Amino acid sequence: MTDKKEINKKGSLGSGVAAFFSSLKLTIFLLITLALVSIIGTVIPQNMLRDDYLKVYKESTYATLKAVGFLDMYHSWWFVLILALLTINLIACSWKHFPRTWRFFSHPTRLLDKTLEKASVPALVWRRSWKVMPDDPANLLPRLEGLWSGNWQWSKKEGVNGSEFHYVAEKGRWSRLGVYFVHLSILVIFAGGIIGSLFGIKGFANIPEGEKVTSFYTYGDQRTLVELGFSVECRDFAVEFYESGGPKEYSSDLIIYDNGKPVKEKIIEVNHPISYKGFTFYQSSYGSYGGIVDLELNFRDTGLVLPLKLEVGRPLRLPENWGWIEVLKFEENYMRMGPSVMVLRDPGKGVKPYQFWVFLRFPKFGEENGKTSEFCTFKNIEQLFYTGLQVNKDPGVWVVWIGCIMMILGLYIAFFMSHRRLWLRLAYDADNPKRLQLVLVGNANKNQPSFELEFKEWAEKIKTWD
Amino acid sequence: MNTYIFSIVTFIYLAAMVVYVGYLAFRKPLVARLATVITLAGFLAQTVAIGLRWYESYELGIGHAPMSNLYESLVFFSWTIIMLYLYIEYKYKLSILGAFVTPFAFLSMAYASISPSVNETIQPLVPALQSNWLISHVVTCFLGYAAFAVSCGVSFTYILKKRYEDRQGAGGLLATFPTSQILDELVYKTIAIGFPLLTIGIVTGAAWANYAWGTYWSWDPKETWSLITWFIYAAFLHARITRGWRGVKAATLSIIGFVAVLFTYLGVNLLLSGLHSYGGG
Repeated sequence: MTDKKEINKKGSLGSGVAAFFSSLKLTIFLLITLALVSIIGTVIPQNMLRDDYLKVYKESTYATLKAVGFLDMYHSWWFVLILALLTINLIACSWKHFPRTWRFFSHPTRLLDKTLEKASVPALVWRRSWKVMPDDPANLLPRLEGLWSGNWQWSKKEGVNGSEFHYVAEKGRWSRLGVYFVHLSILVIFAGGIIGSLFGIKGFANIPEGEKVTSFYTYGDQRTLVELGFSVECRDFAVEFYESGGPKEYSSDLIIYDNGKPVKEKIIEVNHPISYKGFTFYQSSYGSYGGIVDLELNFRDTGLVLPLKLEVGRPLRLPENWGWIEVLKFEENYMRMGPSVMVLRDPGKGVKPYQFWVFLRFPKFGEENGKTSEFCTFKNIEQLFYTGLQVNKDPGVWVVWIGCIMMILGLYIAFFMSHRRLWLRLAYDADNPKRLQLVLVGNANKNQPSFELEFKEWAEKIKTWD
Repeated sequence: MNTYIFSIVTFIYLAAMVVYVGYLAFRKPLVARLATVITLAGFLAQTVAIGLRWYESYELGIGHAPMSNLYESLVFFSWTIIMLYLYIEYKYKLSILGAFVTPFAFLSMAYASISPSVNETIQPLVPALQSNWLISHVVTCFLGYAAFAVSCGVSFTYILKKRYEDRQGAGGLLATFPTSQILDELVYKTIAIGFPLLTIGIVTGAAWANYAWGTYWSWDPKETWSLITWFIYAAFLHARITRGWRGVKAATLSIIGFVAVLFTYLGVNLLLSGLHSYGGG
C-alpha cells in the first residue's frame, strides 16, 4: 500500500530477527496461515459439551482433538500465537516503513533536479521551450497557478543557481498515513478484544414472569454467580407467532430497580436490549415452566364431576377421603397429541398410586380408556413463561468500535486518496540565454493512470502558451 | 409477479453473456453495444422486479427489504454484480470484461430460479432479522461480493493475458485483450473497492450481533468465513507490493479469495450450521 519502490529496497536493518519480523513475506505467510487454520473451527463444532462430541467422535478422537485445541481453537495457544506474531509483524513493518513516509512531511522534495527528472515515470515528464522569451518567466506563474487551483498546495523557489525557477505543487500528502491508520486500527481492535476478555462478563438469567433477579450465572464450565447490584423484574412476557407458525416476536417487559426504586422500564425484544450500569440485557430465549391446569375429575359410579385448579408440580389433597392428585408435567405436543399433562393420582383406600396422560384435544380420551372407577378431563392450561436473557458486560466494546471506525476511514484514505505531486522548473538555456526551458514532472503514489490523463491535459494547455 | 420478471431477467443475462462472448470472438463494436444494451435492459427489469417484490411484501403485511432469504440474496447478488460491471464498463470502456463477469450474474439468477431447494416465496422475517441493520449489513456485504466477483473475472483475464505476453504470443484472440498491466490495475481497483466494503459488512454484522445477541464476535462459521475471506484479500493487498508475489501469484490469490467469498455466502449455509441459518432456505 506504500510505494512499491520503497518496499522493494532491501532494508539494511541491523539484525536478521528484525528483518524477519518486518518482512512483508511474513505478513503474507501469516495471513494465509490464519485463513487456512481458521477453517478448522468452522468444520469441527466448537465449545460443545463432551457428551455431544462423543455422539460424533470416538473417545480417542475426542481426546486428540481436545489436546491439540481444535475444540476451542480460536482461543488455543497456537492461534493466539499466530495473532501475536501478526501483531509483532504489523508493528515492525510499520516501524520500518514509517520513517520513509515521514520524509514526505519532514523533507518534501522541493527541487526538480536531474536525478528526480530521470527517476520519474516517462509518461509524467514533459518538456517544452520557448525560443524567445518575451519577458520575465515569473509572469508565467499566475498562469501556472491557474492550472492547479483547488486543493493544490503551491510553493516556489526563485533564483536557484542564479536563474532557475522552481515550483512545487502537491495534494493529499497526508493520505500516505492511511495505511498506518489501518494498522493502528487493528491494534486498537485487538486491545478492545483483550479488554473484553479480561474484564467482560457474559451470562444468562432466566426470570419467571412476575419475578425479580439480583444476580446471574456466567457461561462456561465453571458457572459463577455474578451480583448485579440492582434487580431486574420481568413484569410480563409475550410471544407472537406468524400464521405459518414461526415466531414473529417475543418480548419481555422489564423493570430495573435500584435501591428498591424503579429506575428504568423497557419492553425488550430481539434487537432491542436494555442497558443499565454497564450491564446489557438481551432477549435471547424463553421457556415455559409449567402453569395452572384446569382438570375435571369424574367419578364413574356417582357421576360426580370435581373441577380442579392445579399448579404443575404441586400435589393437592382432595376433600372427603378421595386422596391426592398432582399434575406432574406439561408437554406442548406429547406424542403429537397436542398439549398434554401427566397426572399422578393416589386415590388412597389401599389403591396403588398410578399415573396417566390426558390431552386437551381429546377430552373423551380418559373416559374411554380408563379402566378405573374415575377419569380425568384436561380442560385448559394457563402456561407460565420465563424470559431467557443474555446478560453482558463488555468494557472493551467501545474500543472495538473505535478501532472499526478507524479501520474503515483508514481503508478509505489508503485506497481512494493519493498523494500527487508536480514539479516545474523554468530555466534559461545555458547555451542560448534567450531560450526558456520548462520541465514538468508529476508523481502519484496511487491511481497513476488517471493522474497521467490529468497530467496530459495540463501539458496540452501549457503547449498553447506563447 | 416479481418472480416471473426475475425468470425473464435470467434469460436476458444469459443472452447478454452469449453476446459478450460473441464480442470476444468477433470484436465488432456493434456487438459490444448490443451486449451492453441487453445487460442494461436486464438490469432495469431486475431493478423494477426488486422494487415490486419489496412492494408486494408490504401488500402481504410482512413488509421488509427483499434481502432476507437465499432467493432474494441471489437476486440481489446478481443485481450488484451487474451494477458494478456496468459502471466499470462505462468508466474504463472495457466491454471485453463482460464475457467474464456476466456469467456470475447469470449463474446466480439461474440458481435462484431453477434450484428446487431455493424457496422463492416472500417469507416473514424471524425476530433476529427485524432490524435496521439488515439493509446496511446486507448491502455492504453484497456490494463487496460483487466487486470480488468482478475482480475474479478480471483475474482470469489477467492470467490468460499474462501467459500470452510471457510467451510473446502474437495475433489470436488474446492479442485483443487489454494489456496485463491494465488488467492487473483493474484487479487491484476492484479489490480496493471490495475490501473496504467487506470490512464495513463485517463491522455492521458485528455491531448488529452485539445489539441482538450481546456479542460482537462469536466465531460462528459465517463470521469466521468472512474473516477468512478478509485474510485472503489482505494477503492479496500485501502480495501486490511484495517482490516474488506480484502478478500471477497475486491474481491467483484474488481468485482463491472469490472462492472463499462463495463459500462464505453459499457454502456456509449449505454445508455448515450456525447463526446465519436464515440464508439457507
